[in-house]
Amino acid sequence: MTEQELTARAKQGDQDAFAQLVEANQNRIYTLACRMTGNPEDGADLAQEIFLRAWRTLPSFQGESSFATWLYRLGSNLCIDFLRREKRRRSAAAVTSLDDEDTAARTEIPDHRFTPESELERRELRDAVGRALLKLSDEHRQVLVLRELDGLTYSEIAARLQLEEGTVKSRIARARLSLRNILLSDGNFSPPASSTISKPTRKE
Amino acid sequence: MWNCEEALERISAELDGALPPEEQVALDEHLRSCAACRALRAELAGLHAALPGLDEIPAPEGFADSVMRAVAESAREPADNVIPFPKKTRRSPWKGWAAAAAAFAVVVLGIAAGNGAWGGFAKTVDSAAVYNGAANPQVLESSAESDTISSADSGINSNADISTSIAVNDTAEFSSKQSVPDEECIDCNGDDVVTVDLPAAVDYYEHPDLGLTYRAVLTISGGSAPDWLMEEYEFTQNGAVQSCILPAQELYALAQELELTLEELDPDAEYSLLLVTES
Repeated sequence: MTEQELTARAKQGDQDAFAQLVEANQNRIYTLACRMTGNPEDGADLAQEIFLRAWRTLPSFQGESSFATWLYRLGSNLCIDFLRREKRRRSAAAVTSLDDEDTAARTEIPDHRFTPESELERRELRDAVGRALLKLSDEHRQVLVLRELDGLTYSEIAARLQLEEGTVKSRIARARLSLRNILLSDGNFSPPASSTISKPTRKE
Repeated sequence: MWNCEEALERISAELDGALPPEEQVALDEHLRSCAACRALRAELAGLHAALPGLDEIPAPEGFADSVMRAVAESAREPADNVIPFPKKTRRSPWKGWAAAAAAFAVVVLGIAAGNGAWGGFAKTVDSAAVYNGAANPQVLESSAESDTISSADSGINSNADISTSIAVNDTAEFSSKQSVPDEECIDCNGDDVVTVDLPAAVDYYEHPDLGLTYRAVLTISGGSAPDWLMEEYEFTQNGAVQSCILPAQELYALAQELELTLEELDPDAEYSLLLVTES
């Protein structure tokens, strides 16, 4: 049965059809939820919530896109909601949290670098990047996932997160820098000995 | 001439194909004179290339089964596809714990009332509020809608009262009908304390791009919006209007709460829109 047929049946309340859609999309949605939340426990809960929400919302799905696309977008929105709640929860718990951009601006660029060259190195880099991504702050991980994995433009991200485009732009830049710094400090790469890099000068 | 921090943002924008031509010229100029940023650009380009190729993370074993169990369960709930008009609710239950805490207070109140122990009652309402830690003030207010609370102010505030009341709660049977004199306060059946089911993990919906129509719209002019409402929900400012998208049932509960009339739109939609206009 095609996705379209399965979707039509699921829309009528056919749970077996929906089960097949879950089966076909579970890894992608679970991956999305893990990458956005940064940990597998929240990821699993959220992925389940996404499917449950999809089941409940399916009657209003008009077929304007494929089920998979619709599901992914729904999932992405629920992830953004989740992170927003997390942020609110955390800021309620810790009054003196540093501003994200401010913290990032103080990040020093370590005195190493990596340049993966062979296929093996690229493979290792991908694995390491996947792990490092989970260590980013929620805000950094979120914009990077939306940009690099979901392929959204700055303006699309800005609309989704209700941020200024300029904020998105600078946050993505800092997220990239943080990711690189995590990779280096995790020792996933053996840097060539000779390089030096200066710390970026802070504005003002 | 940019410093390296300014260059970082341009390097990143360049990777995303979002660097205006005039800035490209300036970036190239910076890179010519800054080896560190040249190296950084190469590294970030490596990450940019690696990120989209990340492998999927396989869902844990039994994940699909667990989803389908939840689906089967939700299909058995009456509120499955059609969102019923909420029954009369005593308190906007957008936070399950708040409603539960209020219910707790009401039940204990009932016990105290049943015993004619007004001093005990005053204390138990207090204790329910304390119970919530950072609780929202409506819990207290809602459980105390009957004017009995003022008469209870003479309160005997010993801790013993709290524990006694709670202990009684475990064993004694009181109907909430008997316990709450004000009929506005609660529906008669004990199981109606929380009448609106909300997904446990979801508080707010703020994304107008969910691609869904709205079940209803509730418009409040800023002047008459209570402070707690503005604190409870996270609004998005759109010009003179602040908006917040929330599950349909929640808005009905809220409208009832505020004794306002909402505008019904699409009966099949899952979400509702809360608007606060400038007064």
